[in-house]
Amino acid sequence: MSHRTGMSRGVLLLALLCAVSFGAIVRVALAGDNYHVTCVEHGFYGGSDTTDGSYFARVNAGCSSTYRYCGIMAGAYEVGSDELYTSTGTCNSWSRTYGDYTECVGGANLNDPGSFSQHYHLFSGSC
Amino acid sequence: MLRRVKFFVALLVAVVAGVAGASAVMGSTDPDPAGADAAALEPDGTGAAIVATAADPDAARGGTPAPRWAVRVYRSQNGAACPDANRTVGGDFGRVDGDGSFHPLALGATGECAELSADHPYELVVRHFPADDRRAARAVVFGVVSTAVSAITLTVDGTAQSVPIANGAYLAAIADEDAATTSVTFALANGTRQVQALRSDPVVTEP
Repeated sequence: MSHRTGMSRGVLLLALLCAVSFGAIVRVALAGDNYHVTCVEHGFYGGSDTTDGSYFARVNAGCSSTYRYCGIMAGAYEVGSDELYTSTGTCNSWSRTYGDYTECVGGANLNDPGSFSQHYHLFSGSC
Repeated sequence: MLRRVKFFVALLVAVVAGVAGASAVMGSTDPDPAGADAAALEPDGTGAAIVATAADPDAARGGTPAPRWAVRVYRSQNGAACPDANRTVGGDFGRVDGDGSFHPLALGATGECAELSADHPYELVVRHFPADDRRAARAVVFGVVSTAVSAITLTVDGTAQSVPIANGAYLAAIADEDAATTSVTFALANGTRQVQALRSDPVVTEP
């Protein structure tokens, strides 16, 4: 005969699921990631550390796009960029390729004429 | 009282386990997050190699010697070839800042990963480095190719130069202001050629 602890297994399981969701939200929020899918996934990717100065501007392949652009923003300035002239490959620009920048004011300048117009994705986390 | 203590202990354990579980599910994102498709960008653990280097345009004109440009290639977890272009000093891959200092760059999910195929025998990337106090802006043309590509020619303002293919990758550096008058020709083993003119204004939506 089992001993009753005061909490059912169901409640514990529910708490665990809520905690996993909470943990995922915390991680994304801290990362400052800011991406979405307009035919292809693209955006600003910051990772879990908002102080390491390492972040990315990315445009995935797809939707028959033959040209993609991903630029690294530091404040109001674009400090470097990549162009991809082929439908294969990921446009993947890394901040440290060009220098050491403050992630909190980082951003991505993105363009994929086959899928979306030029626009910016900025850091969206808390510093 | 004992029930309350048990409840809070259980809650604490659940939260810690939840955050840890979320981290495990989402994978490592520090310092090089790969986003939703991590396997397409994250290195497979076998390392990377500098497979080709190229002189800076200033060196070709007899200017102050500058570290050579380099393309480093690694394999992603899903088997794609991932080239990354920057400088090389003493065999290391890294960045040269405006003060001339060299900063090695650790391997991460930093490549322009491409899965080559019969329909897509090459990748063409142009990386733009802005000018600084010492150097003019540069455009570095690089990528990976399959064995279906037999030769690459870079034509800058009407002047053609051959770009060597080394271990399936290639690299050339030009003045950024010349990019608008540059084209890249890929000669394929089947006898055909494909020419790609670079854009004068990369961000403009329409060419």
